[in-house]
Order: sequence, then structure tokens, then C-alpha cells
Amino acid sequence: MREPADFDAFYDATSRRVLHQLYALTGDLGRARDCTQEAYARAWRQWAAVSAATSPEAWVRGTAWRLASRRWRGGPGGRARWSTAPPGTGSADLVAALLRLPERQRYAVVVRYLAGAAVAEIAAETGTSAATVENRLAKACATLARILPGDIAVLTGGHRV
Amino acid sequence: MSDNLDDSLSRRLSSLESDVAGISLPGPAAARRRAAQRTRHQLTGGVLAGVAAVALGVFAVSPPDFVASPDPAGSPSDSPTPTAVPTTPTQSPSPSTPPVEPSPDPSSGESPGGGEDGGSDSPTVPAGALLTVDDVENDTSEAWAEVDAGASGLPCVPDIPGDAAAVAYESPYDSHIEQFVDPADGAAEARLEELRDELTGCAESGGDFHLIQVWSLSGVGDAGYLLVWNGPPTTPDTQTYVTASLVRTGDFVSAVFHGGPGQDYNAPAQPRLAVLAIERLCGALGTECPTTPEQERLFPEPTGDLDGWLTTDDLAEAGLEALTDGGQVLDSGDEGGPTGYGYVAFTRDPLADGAELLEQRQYGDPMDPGGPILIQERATFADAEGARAHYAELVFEANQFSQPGDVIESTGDVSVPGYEAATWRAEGSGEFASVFVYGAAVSENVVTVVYYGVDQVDVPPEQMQQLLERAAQRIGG
Repeated sequence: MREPADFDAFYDATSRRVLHQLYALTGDLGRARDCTQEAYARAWRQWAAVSAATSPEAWVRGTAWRLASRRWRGGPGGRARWSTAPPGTGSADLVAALLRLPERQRYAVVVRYLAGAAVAEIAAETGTSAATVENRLAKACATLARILPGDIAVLTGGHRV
Repeated sequence: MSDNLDDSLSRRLSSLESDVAGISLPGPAAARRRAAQRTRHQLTGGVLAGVAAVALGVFAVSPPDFVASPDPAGSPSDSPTPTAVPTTPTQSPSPSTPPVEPSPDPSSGESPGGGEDGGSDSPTVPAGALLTVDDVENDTSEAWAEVDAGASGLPCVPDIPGDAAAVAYESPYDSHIEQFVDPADGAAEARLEELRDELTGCAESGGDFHLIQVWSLSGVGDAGYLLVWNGPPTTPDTQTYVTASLVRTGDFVSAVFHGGPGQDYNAPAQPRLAVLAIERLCGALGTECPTTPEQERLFPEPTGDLDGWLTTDDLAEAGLEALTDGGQVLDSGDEGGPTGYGYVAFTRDPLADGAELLEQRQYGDPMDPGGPILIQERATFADAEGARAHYAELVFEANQFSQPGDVIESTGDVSVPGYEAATWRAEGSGEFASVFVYGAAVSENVVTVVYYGVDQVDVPPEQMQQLLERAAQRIGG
């Protein structure tokens, strides 16, 4: 028996985080919102299984990201539609930099440094090895340090990654 | 990696919170309703015609609640008490009208058909002809309650006709369903058209009113329509969306209006309420009626095939029979138009290479918005030489392209008098496994690319090659 109260509590506890992470992944507030909401709808359809997962939040995040990724790769306007960080905001440079990362690297970075997941958790979530995740993180950080020159010192503590 | 980097990156990423602070999510109840309403369905064939007996329309944020299984017309005790009771008596039906023999409704002292006091020209609506609360109950633990008919407040919903039987329900989430069954002796066909005209006229009246979809409906009763529109009341985040399910059988017209607040409407109108309504009505009439819906979109009017572009027959030959809805052509000057090739492996910029025009057309399944789409793009150059040079660079770079985890293979190329074409296939792995098939072709002064994210239907290399050859052959019209 599905319990709406359990789902509602889960939604209330996690949805803002997932939205935040989807925004970091997509750079598009509207798309992040749409894909997040759709992912929760899908979670409710499979709530018995999702609620029993190791991390239901990771399930929703991964689903939302797949939705966003699919729309990006096959959707109208292609890559240009992702360049929608709010103009004039201080985060625009970070959003633009994230969008230059290959999608798997971007996912690893966001889940590691925003969601706080351990490398092993990311590996399990993405069906790959911890070494691969480490590799993606290293490449992503190197790229970010290169394309955010003003942040190099901050990002690396004065050391090249 | 240093701890400083970890901390700095975490802080920077966390700072994005300020961007999302003003973004509201619709809430868990909206997600559950969306889940209840979004059921995949299959197009069973025919251009813009489909059977969709399961799925429901989607109000993306705050959709009207809905709906139980389409049980056949139940016992009279299943029927709600109509809130508008005809005052006219039964009359002998026309030859085309099934016999009207109202059965008593044990749940009510009132018969929806009235029926004892003669004097009217209209047939009487039989008991049990209206949707029941069980019909409209959804499966997400959200109850509907019967309310007074005629008070839904939904935009453009007409007053209940004087001879009609009516019923209305309301959900805790401010969604409404209102139905009336209107007896129209010998004039049901005209009454249906009149109702459709009235609704479309209102929905196209401007201001906050917008007509979204109109479908003709066959296979449900004698004929019908599905209409979707939005209108007031509006808030900064929502508008009121309404779906009308209009069907006629014999001398009766049933109109069901289903609406509530939402942010957009992103699915084709679904015939389930029309089917439920006709099952109830025909059950009450004691007749058998068809309940196998097929719908054809009337508005927005389908674009159809266009000179110079792949046709829906071309796509069907490639196995993509469901992609029957070719959209409008957008060019790089249009809002939302292409600024470069939309697929990641096409790294060459046609405009930077001298293309004078870049256009894009999408092909989708009209019954599955948000589902699989195939995209074709055309870059038009000043001359064939420019197009050939760009094509050569495009193919070269596509052959070099890679993404970690993707296995990309060239699946063929062809060079014949008049055109050249090449195709590829990219398969991902792991959690994000996805398959894309794509290709490029050149003919005359036009380079075209085609790409498709494989969903339920794959396109094998041979068919993709054929599709690209078709695309090349279509260039120039």
C-alpha cells in the first residue's frame, strides 16, 4: 500500500536539494524545475521500490538528470538552450563553467561537492568503478580550475590540481 | 585533490542556492497527481489517429484529479443524484434514438428523467446516465466529493441546458469535473457542433483565454470532440486549464468538463472521460455503443510534409511510424531556433563555415509529447562548393568525436552522383546508457543532419542510411 504521507515527507525533505543539484547540472532553472517534478512523479509511480532503495534521493536525482540529459541531447535548440544562467548573477560564470564539462564529469562533481556523496556512492549510483569516478572528478576539477582563472587560487589553494 | 579545493568547490556550488531560491516547486500532491495521470500509451496506427484508452492529459503542476477504471455502466445505485432534473416527460424517440426507458434510481427519490408529466419535445435523460463518483475517483487517495452542478467556475463552461441532467464533483485540490447530458431530439449532431463552436469561440476570445487543442473523436458513441483551453482565474504561477469531452449518441449529447489550476498542458487530450461518459449513457439507455476511441487533431492544425524535408513516410520506412507530427520549421533567427547543430557529435559550426541559413524541424509522436523525437537540420550555403567543404569538415570531426563511456561507430557512408551521406551510432554504458543514431548528408548547396535518441524503437544502420539518403534526395524539394 502506497502511503502518500511517506512520499510527501520525502518530497518535502529532499525536493529543494534535488532542484538545486539539477540546476547545477543543467544551468537552466526551468528545466531543473520540470525535470525535478517529473522525477518525483515517477518516484511516486514506483514508490514501493523507490522507498526501499538505498537512497531514494539519489534515485530521484538520477532520474531527473536522465530526463534533463535526454532533453538536452535530443531536444530543440540543442546545447544553446543550456546557456540560461540568470544574467547578471554572480553564479553565471560557475554555471557556464559547469556546462563546459562533459556530462559524466559534471554529474560526478555536482553529486560529490554539492550533494556530498562519497566516491563509492557515486560509483554505485552511476554503475561504474570508484576509480572511474575519481578520474572524472580529477578531470573536472582541472577543467574548472582552467576555465575559471579567477578562482584558481581559491579552487586549488594556490596549487595546480 | 586538496581539501581547499573540496571546500571551495562545495561553497561555490552551494552558492547556486541563491539562483533557485525564487523557484517554487508544485509540491508532493501535484507530483502524485502527475504520476496518476501520466500513463504511457501506444499509437495504434494511422496518421494522427490513435487509440488512447488509458492515458490522461497532464496538467504539469496542478492537474485536475482523476480517475478510476472505466467500469461499464453500473447498477442504478452507482449513479449520483443529478443536480438538475429535467422537468419534461419522456417522448417517443426518433427512429435513430435508442429506446429510453428510465430505470428507477434507488439512491434518489428523483428520477433524472422526470418522466411522468408529459409535454416536452425532448427525450428524457435516463437515470444512471451520468458519471459517478467512483468513475472520477483517482487512485492517489484523494477523494472527490459531489457538489452543486453549474458552479464550477471553470472558464468557458456553459450553463446547464434546461432539459439536461447534470452532476459535478470537486477535489480537495480545487479541481472540478462537471457533466451534463443534454437531450436534443433529432438535433444531437447540430447540438454537438454548436457546443464545440461555443467553446472554441470562448477559448479564442483573447486576453487570458487560449485554445490549446481540438481533436475530433470517433469510435466513442456516434461522434465527439476533445477540446483543451486555459483561461481565468489566473495567478502569477497558474492558469485554469479545462478539458472538454463532448460525445453524442442517438438523441443525446454528453459534455464533461474537467479543469483546475495548472502551469501548462503538455499532453494530448485523452478520451477516457468521453469513454466513461458514453459507457454510462449507453448503459442507462440500454444500448451498446462503440468505446474504441480514435482521435485526430484539428487544432493546432498539423503542418504536414514540407518540400525539402523528410516526410513522415520517410520516417515510417525507417521504422518510426509513430513520429507523424512534423513541426514548424525554425531558423536561426527565430526565438528557440537553432544556433548550431543540436547534436553533440556535430561539432562543426555551419554558420561559422559560411552557411546563410540554418533551419530545424522536429518530428514527434502527437500522442506522446515529450517522448521520442527525431530532429533534422538544414544548413544552406551560397553554393554547392561551400556546402561540400563544410560537409567534409563536419564528417571529419564527427568521425573524431568521442565522449567518455560512449562507444561510437561509423555505420556507413555513401557517395553517389548528386549527394553524399554518412551515419553513426553512439551507445552509452552504465547508469546513463543511451543510444543515438545520427547522420549527415550533402546535396546541392545544402547540408542536412538528422539525429534520433533511440527510445522504444531502434533504427538499424541500414535504415538510418536509407533515411539519410532520403534526406539528401529531398533537398531541393
